[in-house]
Amino acid sequence: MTGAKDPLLNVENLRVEIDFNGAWVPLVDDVSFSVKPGETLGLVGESGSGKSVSAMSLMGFMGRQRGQRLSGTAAFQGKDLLRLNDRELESMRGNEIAMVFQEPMTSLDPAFKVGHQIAAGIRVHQHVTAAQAKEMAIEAMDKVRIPSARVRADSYPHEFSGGMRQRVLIAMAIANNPSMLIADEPTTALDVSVQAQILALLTEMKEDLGLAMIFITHNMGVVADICDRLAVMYAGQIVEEGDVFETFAAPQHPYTDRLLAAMPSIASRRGSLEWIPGSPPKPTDFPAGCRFAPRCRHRLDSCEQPTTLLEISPGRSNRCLRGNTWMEENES
Amino acid sequence: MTPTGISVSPALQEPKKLPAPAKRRVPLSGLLRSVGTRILRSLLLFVAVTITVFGLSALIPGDPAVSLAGEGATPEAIAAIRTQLGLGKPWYEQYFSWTNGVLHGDLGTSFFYHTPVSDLVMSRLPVTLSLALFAIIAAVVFGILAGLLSATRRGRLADKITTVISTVGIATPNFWVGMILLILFSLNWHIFPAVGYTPITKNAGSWFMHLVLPAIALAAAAGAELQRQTRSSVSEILSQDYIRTARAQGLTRRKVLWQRALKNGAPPLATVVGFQTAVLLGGSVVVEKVFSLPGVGTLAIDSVTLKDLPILQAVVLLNACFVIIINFATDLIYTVLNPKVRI
Ligand SMILES: Nc1ncnc2c1ncn2[C@@H]1O[C@H](COP(=O)(O)OP(=O)(O)OP(=O)(O)O)[C@@H](O)[C@H]1O
Ligand SMILES: [Mg+2]
Repeated sequence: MTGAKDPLLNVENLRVEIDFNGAWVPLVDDVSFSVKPGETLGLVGESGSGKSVSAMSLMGFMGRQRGQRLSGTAAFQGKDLLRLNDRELESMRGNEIAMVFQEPMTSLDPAFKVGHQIAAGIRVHQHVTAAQAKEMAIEAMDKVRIPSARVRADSYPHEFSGGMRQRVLIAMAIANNPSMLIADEPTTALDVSVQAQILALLTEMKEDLGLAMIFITHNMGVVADICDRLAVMYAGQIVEEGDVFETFAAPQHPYTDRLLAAMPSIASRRGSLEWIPGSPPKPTDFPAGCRFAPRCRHRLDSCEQPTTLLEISPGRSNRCLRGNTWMEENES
Repeated sequence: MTPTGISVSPALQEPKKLPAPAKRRVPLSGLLRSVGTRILRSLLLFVAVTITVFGLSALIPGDPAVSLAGEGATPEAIAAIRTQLGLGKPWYEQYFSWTNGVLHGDLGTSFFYHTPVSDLVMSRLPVTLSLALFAIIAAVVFGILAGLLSATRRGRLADKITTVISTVGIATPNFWVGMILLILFSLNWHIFPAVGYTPITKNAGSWFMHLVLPAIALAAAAGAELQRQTRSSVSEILSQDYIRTARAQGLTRRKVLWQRALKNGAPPLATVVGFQTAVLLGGSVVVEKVFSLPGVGTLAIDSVTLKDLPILQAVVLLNACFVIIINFATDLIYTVLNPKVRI
């Protein structure tokens, strides 16, 4: 599809550490992935696997404070996001890369009208008058299908439902025509029926505006629905990256395999609902070797060695030390 | 949910039903009713205050007229006091005629000065109001600035220093602060005049110079309280999701602080400002005395020494009315500032 294009964002060896009682503890490390223009990358993994930390560090919200540090590169339109200064960061945020967060109920400022909040983000990046910005805000609200946007622009957030607030946040995100959107579990806090509407809206926005998107989720079903490519995170690392169809058809890493096996539709095809025993390690006790090994049923003694994410075919990478030799064991 | 927290979405579908209608705003009558309730509450409070202030005369032991007139008073003086207090009539009649006078601006005649109390109070009021206004402006400006400084530098040196200063400010009585300022800035360094007052109409510069030290003394505790409130509410606000949203839109730290954080922090701050204004009015009594400012506070203290009951009653009544008005205004401002309460 978009294989020929150069990546819009190319993250390499991203590592975010925090000072934990005087020792540097990596929350995420050796995170590398890329996103091409117009492409949607799903970032999947269990709670605590480092999805938000990765996204936040790209936006400059993580790794820059006291007691945190950051290394690696994140090439985006000729710049390294991890090395922008405050001013560059502010002019990038909401303008070239926008972000939508998980909690629509708390993500809007209760003291300001929503139209004003959207317009405020427009006026930071575009030289327009307050009145023009307000018009543009109303347009953006229209675009995300908020009914009677002109009237609703003068409402306060508490006058909106959760789904409507998420629409407002999406309107905010697209108001400056960014080339990339990071959506961190944008539907997790919403009712199931509303989730579907918001996903449909995001899909529509990304197609209409040619947005590249990093879509963070727990939900493999959502990945199948809206993502082109997929990066699976486990314990602060990406364990597998690749095209969604190829990965679903033949997962290369045992962890991905287990995640997919847990999906009801796939599980029923395989005849069982399978789960991974144990729980993921905390950043303070990540194993030195393969981090999934303690929970992996294909583990060998050699799995104690450090791992790297290796490209196994164009556009597909795998971190499993056993490559795909573990697969034969699955059939038995 | 499932053990690993991985779940599967239902198939995507186009939105079928229209989004839920927005919650309606509370109709205007709600606002009127809540303002009405507050006015009623203030009026009731006023009645309670008049009863209390009137009751002050009952606290005087023995024959109030004799003890008020003091030693060696002429029978005429005692009789005059007796008439003024309306002694001999039932208490409720005394109360109503006194209240009636109060409502018409008649606060009685001073036992000592033999002039209308209202004239005495009115001549002193500009001093006290200048002082209080000065002090509250200083407290608001410096308290909030210091609070913002600590909130944005939490745990760092600037925050620690500011917090130490404000803790001292809260713990130190205002007359103590006043005396230290007086010793340092007037007696030692001769920067400000030590005592006295010049009306603004005579010499604005001198008026200002005479008020600086007493205003600082009076403002210290209120400013410190405001620093604390600002620090705690602004640093809480800065950690909210909606601040992150604003930063993700590209808003600068400064914009977020001055526009978003301040507006969100305004309702609790307004409450503290209101309360501190009331406290500060009470504190002005002592501070005026320390700096020999001829204000209402000094008048009150003197009236105690002179057993000049009508003046004392007038001052207490005046102060209570200020507090009632301040509370009413604070409530109203809180309502206006808070969009969820606003109708
Ligand atoms: N500011 C922080 N300070 C210390 N540790 C943090 C901080 N933020 C995140 N962590 C830790 O980093 C790890 C990764 O967290 P992260 O929020 O990225 O997980 P996630 O994959 O987004 O999970 P979820 O699906 O629950 O959102 C977790 O162990 C978390 O406790
Ligand atoms: Mg997260």
